[in-house]
Amino acid sequence: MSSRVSRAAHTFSFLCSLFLLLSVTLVGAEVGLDVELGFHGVFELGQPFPLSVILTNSGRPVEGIVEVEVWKGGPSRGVAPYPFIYREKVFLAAQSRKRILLTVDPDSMARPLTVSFSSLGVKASREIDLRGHFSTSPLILLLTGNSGFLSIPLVSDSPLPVISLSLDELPSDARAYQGIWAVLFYEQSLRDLSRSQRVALERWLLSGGKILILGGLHYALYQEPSIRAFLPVRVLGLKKFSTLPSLERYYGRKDSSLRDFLVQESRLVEGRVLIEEEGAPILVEMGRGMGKIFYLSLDVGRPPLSRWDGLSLIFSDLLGSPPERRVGLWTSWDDTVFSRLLMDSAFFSARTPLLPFVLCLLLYLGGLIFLVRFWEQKKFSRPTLVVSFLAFVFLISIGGYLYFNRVVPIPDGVLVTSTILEGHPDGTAEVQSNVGLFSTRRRDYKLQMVRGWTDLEMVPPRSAKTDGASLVIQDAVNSTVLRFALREWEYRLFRVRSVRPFPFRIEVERRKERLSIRLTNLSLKDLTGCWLVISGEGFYLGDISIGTTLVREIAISPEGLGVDDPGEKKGLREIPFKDRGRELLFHYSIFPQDQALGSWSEKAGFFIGWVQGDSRRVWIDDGRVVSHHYTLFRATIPLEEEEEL
Amino acid sequence: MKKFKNPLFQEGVHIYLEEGQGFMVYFFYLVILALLQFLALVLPVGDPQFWLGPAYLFKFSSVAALLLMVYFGLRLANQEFVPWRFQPLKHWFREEKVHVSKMVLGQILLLCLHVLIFILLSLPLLGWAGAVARAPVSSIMSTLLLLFFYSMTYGIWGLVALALWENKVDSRRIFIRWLYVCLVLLSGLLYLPLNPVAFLLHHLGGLELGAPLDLWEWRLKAPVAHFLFHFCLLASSFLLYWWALKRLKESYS
Repeated sequence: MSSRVSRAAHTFSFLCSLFLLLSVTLVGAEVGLDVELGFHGVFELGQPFPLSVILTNSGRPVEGIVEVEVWKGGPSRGVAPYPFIYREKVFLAAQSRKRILLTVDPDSMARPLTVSFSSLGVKASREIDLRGHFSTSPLILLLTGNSGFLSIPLVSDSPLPVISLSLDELPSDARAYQGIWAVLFYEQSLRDLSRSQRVALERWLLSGGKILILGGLHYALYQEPSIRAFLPVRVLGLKKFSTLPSLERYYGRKDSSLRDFLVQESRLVEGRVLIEEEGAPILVEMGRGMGKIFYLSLDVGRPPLSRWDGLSLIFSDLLGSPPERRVGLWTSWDDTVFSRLLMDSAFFSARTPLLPFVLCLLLYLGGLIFLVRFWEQKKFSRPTLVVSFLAFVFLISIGGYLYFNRVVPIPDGVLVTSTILEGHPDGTAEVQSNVGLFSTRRRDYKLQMVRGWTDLEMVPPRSAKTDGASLVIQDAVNSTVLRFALREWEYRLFRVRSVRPFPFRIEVERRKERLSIRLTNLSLKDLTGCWLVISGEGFYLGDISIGTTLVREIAISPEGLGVDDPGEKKGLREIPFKDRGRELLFHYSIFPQDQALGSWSEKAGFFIGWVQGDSRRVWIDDGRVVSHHYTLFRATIPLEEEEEL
Repeated sequence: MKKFKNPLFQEGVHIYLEEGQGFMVYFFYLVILALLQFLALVLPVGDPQFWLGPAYLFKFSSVAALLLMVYFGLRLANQEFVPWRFQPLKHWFREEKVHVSKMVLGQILLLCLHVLIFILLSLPLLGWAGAVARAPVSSIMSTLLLLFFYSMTYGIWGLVALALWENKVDSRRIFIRWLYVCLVLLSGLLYLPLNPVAFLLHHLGGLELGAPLDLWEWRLKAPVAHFLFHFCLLASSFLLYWWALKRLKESYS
């Protein structure tokens, strides 16, 4: 009896387990999709912005693809509208929730942004109208750990959007900061700032961002190592001041009642003190790349300063005018330039196989004439000649097809990247890679870019061949992958921008009738084929290896500039390079001969040199695509007004 | 195996191929096509987009082959070459007592043979141009099919002219040339998808055919409108040809 009961119990438990297992596998995944746009639903028009896609799975585990489709191009960009798809592969565990962070950059607000999740049998999508979300001015982000309300009084004709964020809402992609005017920290601990958030913030700073660190009574927060990296001072504690005459001199009013308050006591580490009181820094400025960090030791969130009239003037002064929009480095990169490059055998060796083609034609015509002669002379039977004719035609067709298709070395594609590094005195360089990909076959391409790029732009083609063609962008481990299809003999041109460190020091000294220029290469790359261009005249410098310094003296006389060897002196238009590709790029793209030199024509002097063995920034991992990478470094020579010759 | 016997077809094969009277036509076709290809490769040397030359070679060659094939096909069907060597239709009806259907079959088969020879002759040239332009094999094969279709569609109008105005040689010549200019060259001005050259270029990926055709309550896509028009053209030419031959037979009997 007991064995029967135990057998029944075993069977029952087995059936129960089977039922549970089946029910788990049979219940499909149910994916819900939610989207958070910009910074609390606001972003600056025309700038990239963060987008969070929140996926909620209430069923079994599922793997799928999240796609965000925005529209780029349009009449304002001079190119037909085309869909730009951001793609991310995700795995959702059973009963889970996942947040996907992306930075999107639509050109058109008229078309909705579409977010979709697709997997085998599971589909969810949402359309978002962007029109109600954008601001025409850049945003100010405020991060504060203070629970009290901090008002930022600003003197402005139009109200500026100040968005209060928590630390975890800070984007981890530098591109998402492009619509940001400034980031304000007030009593905010940065202990929980992730590495990617820190890197993004630093990249944005390097490329011209602005951070304001506002002092507070909780000075210990400012002593944390995480915030110290951004602070130009070392915070020591608090100090009581009865008045601040130096501050009031700049921002105070006659009836100002700023009395008895606490200020953070600090010691300068880097940068320069703009306002100080009794040796204590009040306002400090520090440059970081093209960006700036301001530190104000006052607690603007608490009385009496929070009620002080001069506060709005301080903020207006510190925030300044809206950040300048980067227009990109001046180079010529269009169909004409690319066509000219591809016409040259240095870039594209597959020329029209004219001679083999003519020889094949002659062979074919000769063969036919031969057969006709046999036909007329009746040397062979008619069926034999018909079969011979058919065999000849098919053989020569297939043979010629194989020869022109396989033997003539035509690559599937040709990739040309011309990168220009524009050096700044702070050791950073603005980078612009002009990319051109030409295809001889109808196929898909996977263009990879080093992560950290700030802007990607498709150059409008002369013909509207790109109509309807989409670009898919996907983040990989160390790169961003751009996928698109090209038809045979079609090409696409892009511009990719970023900022990277490239320390190169230029010192100029005028000694009576001679100009001494000292160039120090502090970067990790050799510079070859370097030239100095002063007042439109080029002086050959040779190579400047890593860590070396080159000193050049140029004689100044009423007749003009001079060097010891006149052969080393050339006009800008005549500067030669040993490499044909460099020469073509220099004369047609970087300093086009048939155009003005843009802002560079106004510069009295500048330095140029080719970066030897520069790590590739844009590439295609495919042996059937021939790649040509060129990198040129250029920097302005800081000549004084009287030295501008 | 029963041997295929059609007196008109056999007459055409004898004159054009066995006697070699058609070789000159084929030679002209081939030389003109080869010359055009050569010029297409050589002439744009000074152009900034010269490197794109091979891209257009296949499209250019296909269009040239189409125009030449239709033109020579029409003229061959119209018996413009060595016309004195052919027996008049009266002879076939009165003395040989050939049925209309047999005549139709014989002349259409002969036209078909001419078109096939043209295609065979142009196969190497188009194949090489396709290889240079990196056109897929499917594009080359479909282009050859289109060439065959257009040559037959327009070629039958040469037979129509022959049946309608057998004794009026000049009228026939004027008719087929007018037909060629109107249908093959100018039809695109009326509505682009009607034109075979435009459709061929569209097929090879270089031309947008434009808006669909709104016909009463129907909305026809441009390629549908194109093929509908050509099938109508083919059917009408066939019916007209049949009717003209029947009328001719009745008049002779």
